[in-house]
Amino acid sequence: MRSLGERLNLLRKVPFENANLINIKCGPGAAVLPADVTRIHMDFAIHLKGGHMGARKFWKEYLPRLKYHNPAIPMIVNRHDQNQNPPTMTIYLRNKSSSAAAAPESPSSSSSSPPSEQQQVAQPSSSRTGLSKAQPPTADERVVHIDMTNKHSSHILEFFMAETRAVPLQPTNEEIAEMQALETLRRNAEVDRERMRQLREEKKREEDMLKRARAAGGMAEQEEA
Amino acid sequence: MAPIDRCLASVARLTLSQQSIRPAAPLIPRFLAPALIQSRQASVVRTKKTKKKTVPKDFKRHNLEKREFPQFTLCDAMRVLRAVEVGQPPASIKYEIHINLKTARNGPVIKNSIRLPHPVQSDWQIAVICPEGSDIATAATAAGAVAVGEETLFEAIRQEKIDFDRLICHENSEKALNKAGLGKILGPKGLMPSKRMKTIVSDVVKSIRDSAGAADYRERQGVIRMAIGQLGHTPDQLKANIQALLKKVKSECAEISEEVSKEVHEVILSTTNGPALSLNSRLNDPESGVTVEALSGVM
Repeated sequence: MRSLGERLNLLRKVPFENANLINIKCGPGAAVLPADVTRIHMDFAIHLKGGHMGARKFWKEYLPRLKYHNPAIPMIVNRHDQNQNPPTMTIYLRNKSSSAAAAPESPSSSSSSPPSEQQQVAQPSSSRTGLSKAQPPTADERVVHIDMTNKHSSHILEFFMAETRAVPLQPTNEEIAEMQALETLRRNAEVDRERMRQLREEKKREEDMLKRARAAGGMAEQEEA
Repeated sequence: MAPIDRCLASVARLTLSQQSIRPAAPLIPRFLAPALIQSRQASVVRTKKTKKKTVPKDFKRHNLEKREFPQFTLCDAMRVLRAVEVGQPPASIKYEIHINLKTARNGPVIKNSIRLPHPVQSDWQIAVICPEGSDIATAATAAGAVAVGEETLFEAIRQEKIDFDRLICHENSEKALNKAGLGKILGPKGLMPSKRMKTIVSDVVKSIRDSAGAADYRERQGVIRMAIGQLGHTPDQLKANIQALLKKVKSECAEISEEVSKEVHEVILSTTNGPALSLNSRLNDPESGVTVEALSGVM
């Protein structure tokens, strides 16, 4: 079993991208979506051919952060093998009139629970085999499509933020301190790594020299004999 | 005659000097030789100095509070894990639990199976070895076995056509099973029926029903690891599963601990691709700003 310090380092630093705590809380994509966003659907191919890379990177880099700060909003990813179809993102927004009616009785967090019950019937969960197509919007919803073909993931994020009018979250002081601590750790590690590399190189050079000297000396002795 | 003698001697010296590559050992006076040889032998022997590493009797378990190790409520942990696993098909992603035990390195280990309130995997493929065409065979098929029989099943296993993940044997077929000699194929897969594993039984139907929703767990290196839920489970379902498992493990610890002490030290929740988060035995913290409902919907 791993020791506690090792486990703490794994939680703080980088086992995989976005699987550590600080990376999932802060960074681009850390934003609170307004209450009228009911769900998000992404549709792109598993393979990158045909401009599907940005969509995939958006899913890998920014969607975890969005999901962390908006745990109640379903974010469905549908991957398939039809590379000729353009990768699209569908954002489902509640209509102005119905959102005004729904807002007083159920603000922010609980407002998304009744639609999520409806969606359990309507919207299948994420799929790797193209089984969860984007559903047509329900009566009180409208949809916004974003075409993600040949776009960079950060570009897609800009579109997304503009369409949803999401509020980006600023990191708290603790989080900033944590990030700075990790940054200093990283820089120190780089210095140390360089130092150790030089030490090892020095040692290896000396060993090589000795070896060469011995080999040459051995040859000379044999010749003499 | 003297000059000839001298000549011979010089010739002899010449021949000697040509063979001077020979080791010089015979030239060394006798009284010195044993001492030299002795010292060399001793030096060779003494290089084999190995310090024996002492292993502590118990597994090392740190005090989490003292070290201020981050611990999470179940809802907080699920929030992080669901965020990491966003967009993955929920059927293929599982919640995992790791129970660290405070226990000795040797001694009895915990090993059992449990029926979780909300099973992780519900469609077990069970095969039954029993006399062909008997009542037992028909009953087993009715209870949901995918393969039934004796020689036909053995033949399929020999050809490595194993499309089941549980194998149950009826008492009457035990001899036939032993005669077939399938231990080499089934053993490594952990499918070989045995009395100790309770997979050689008299009542096949009851066994099928018991093992259908059951999951095995065992202690390895002082840790019990197990799949505890699907990604689609709600916090309440997951909580029920974890509580059921912990209750059972704790009772087993109490049973064992008459001879040795064994207790639950830490519970860790993780997912297939996610980080491992230590749990602090609470469902939700009202200050964290995440509700149980928020974590219950579609991902």
